[in-house]
Amino acid sequence: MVDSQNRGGLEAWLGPVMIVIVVLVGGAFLEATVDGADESWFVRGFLVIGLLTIVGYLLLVHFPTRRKLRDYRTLQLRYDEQCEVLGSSLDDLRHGDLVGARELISGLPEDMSKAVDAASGALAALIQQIQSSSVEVAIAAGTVQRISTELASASSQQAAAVVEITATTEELARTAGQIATNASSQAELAAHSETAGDEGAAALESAVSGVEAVRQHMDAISARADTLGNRSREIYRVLDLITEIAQENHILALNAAIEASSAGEHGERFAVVADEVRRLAERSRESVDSVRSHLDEFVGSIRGVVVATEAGTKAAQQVLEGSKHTREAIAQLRSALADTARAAREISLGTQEQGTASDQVVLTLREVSEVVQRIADGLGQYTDAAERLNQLALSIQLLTQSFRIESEHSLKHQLARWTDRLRNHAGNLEAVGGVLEDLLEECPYLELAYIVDLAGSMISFAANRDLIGDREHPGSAAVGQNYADRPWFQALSRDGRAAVTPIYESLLTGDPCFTIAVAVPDPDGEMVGTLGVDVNLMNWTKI
Amino acid sequence: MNQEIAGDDGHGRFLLVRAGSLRCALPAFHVVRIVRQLRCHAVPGSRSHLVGLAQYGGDPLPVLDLHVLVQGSLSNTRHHSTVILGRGQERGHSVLGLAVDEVVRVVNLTLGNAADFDTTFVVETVKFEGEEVMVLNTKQLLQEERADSGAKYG
Repeated sequence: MVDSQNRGGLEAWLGPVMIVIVVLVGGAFLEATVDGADESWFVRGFLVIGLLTIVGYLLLVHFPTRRKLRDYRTLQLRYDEQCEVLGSSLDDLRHGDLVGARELISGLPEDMSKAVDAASGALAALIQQIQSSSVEVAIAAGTVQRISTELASASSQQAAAVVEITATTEELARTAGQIATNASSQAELAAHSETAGDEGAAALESAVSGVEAVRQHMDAISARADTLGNRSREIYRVLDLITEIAQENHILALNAAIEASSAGEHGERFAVVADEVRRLAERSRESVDSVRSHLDEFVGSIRGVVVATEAGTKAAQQVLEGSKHTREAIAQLRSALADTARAAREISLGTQEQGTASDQVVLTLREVSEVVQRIADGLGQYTDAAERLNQLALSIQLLTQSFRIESEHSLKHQLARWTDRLRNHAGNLEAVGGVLEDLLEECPYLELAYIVDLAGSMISFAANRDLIGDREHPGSAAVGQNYADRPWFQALSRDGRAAVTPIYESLLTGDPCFTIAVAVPDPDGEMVGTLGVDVNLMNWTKI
Repeated sequence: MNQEIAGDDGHGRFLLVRAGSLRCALPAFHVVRIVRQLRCHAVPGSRSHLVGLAQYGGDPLPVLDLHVLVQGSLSNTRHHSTVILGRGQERGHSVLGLAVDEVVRVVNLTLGNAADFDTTFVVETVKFEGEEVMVLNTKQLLQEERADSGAKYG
């Protein structure tokens, strides 16, 4: 810059100096060649005109030119400064620090500042949108993955259920065939039973007619028995009369015997006659008693006949009533047998149709089983695609996390805020530990937060017990552990910019995680340490 | 021995009757008539063997229960017949009736020599056709009845 300015000053003075040299050299040559007085005035006029030309040149050309050069130099300096600021801003943009890039543009011209600010803002908005979209894609992919997994599981269960249904339907078809056979046999049996019912009804009608005839005979017998009873009572009356006559004869004979006895020897023959009469009376009485005895038996028999006849009549009546019930029952039975035969035939036809339908159902179920199996396979592929989509969304997340934007989802920006708090507690390890605990409390998706000095040695850390639980800390998570060989530390030490690692498996939880490291500056802006955090992806994506 | 009832050889004609389980022999000499059961009218306050008073031939006839008279106790008797005793030679001889269940017949019985027809009512008990038959002293019965009738109606 100094050389160019000096070179510009010489160039500015070179024109007038050469003109002066030319005028002086021309004046001296003219003075040497001119002898007369008139010629001296010519020389003097030449010199005056030359001097005037020089003065005019200085006034009209040289000094404005110098002023322009000075202004140009000033503009050059400002341009250089602005180029440097713009370069720094673009360098921040290149490293993804959109916040830093926007902080530097105050030194740029207004239009340029607005343009850079608008570009940074648009880029930040785009990144934020990409970040939000990637989070939503990750969430949606997780949801799709979970649902597709559930659907795949359900499809597998459905396929198994369809197989069971198929087997059951096949069994149902076989059972339907057996039912059809049994129903056909039952229909035949019902038809035979109906025929037998017809024959039974005819036999019952005949039996009823016979019983009716028996009842009529019973009534006739009863009437005859009543007649015999009346006749018996007349016989009893006759017997009573005969008995009375016999008793009278007996008494008469006894009185005759008494009179004969009173007559002494003269009455002996009469006594013999009286005794014979008495004997006759006694025999008459004995005969009457015998007849009465036989008549008693006869009357008893007649009573037995009457009782038996009444019982027979009653039984015949009961048989007739029972026959009526039986006739109705047989009619109902015949109707029921006809219905049964018809129902059995319908059942047979229905079960045959059911068997055919079951075969069609089995075929359809097999097709459904194949479709369900294909759906399950497709859902498995869908699950894999969702898994890949989830991984892709996480990758996009990591890419967006390589930018620092003014967003609560920008971990670099969040950590930059926490480095401001740490700056105020430089040298106070207890306060630093408290800040790290606060950081974990505010960001529950962080497994571990730690401070590493410039030599790469851990000086303080805090672990998230909600995520780690009671598991032992691995050897790497300990004060004094050196992280100088870690890529993030080396990258941060190299250019002082925040570093993001690829995804790796956490030694603390076994979950996928990644590390973000940012520089911790002192109040003068000099880097005095590194703040690192391990982000648990499982919980981060949930948030 | 009373000649009206039995001869010297102890033979006599008796009317064989049954009163309940008792079989009795009444001297045929004292039997006036055998009739069917007479309708009796009970006499209040009379002795237990008096069945009642019946009407016979226009006169009142006392009817006695033979079973009560012999046994002294009532029995389940039917009293199908009434034997009318009497046949005295003297005027105003007494007549009474004996209510019996059955009048069997007139039989010939042989009594012992010691048969006393003057003092005892049951003269003797004899075997007839395998059964015991009590021979009754109807004379004493008629005399007692005559004495009672005289006291009661005379």
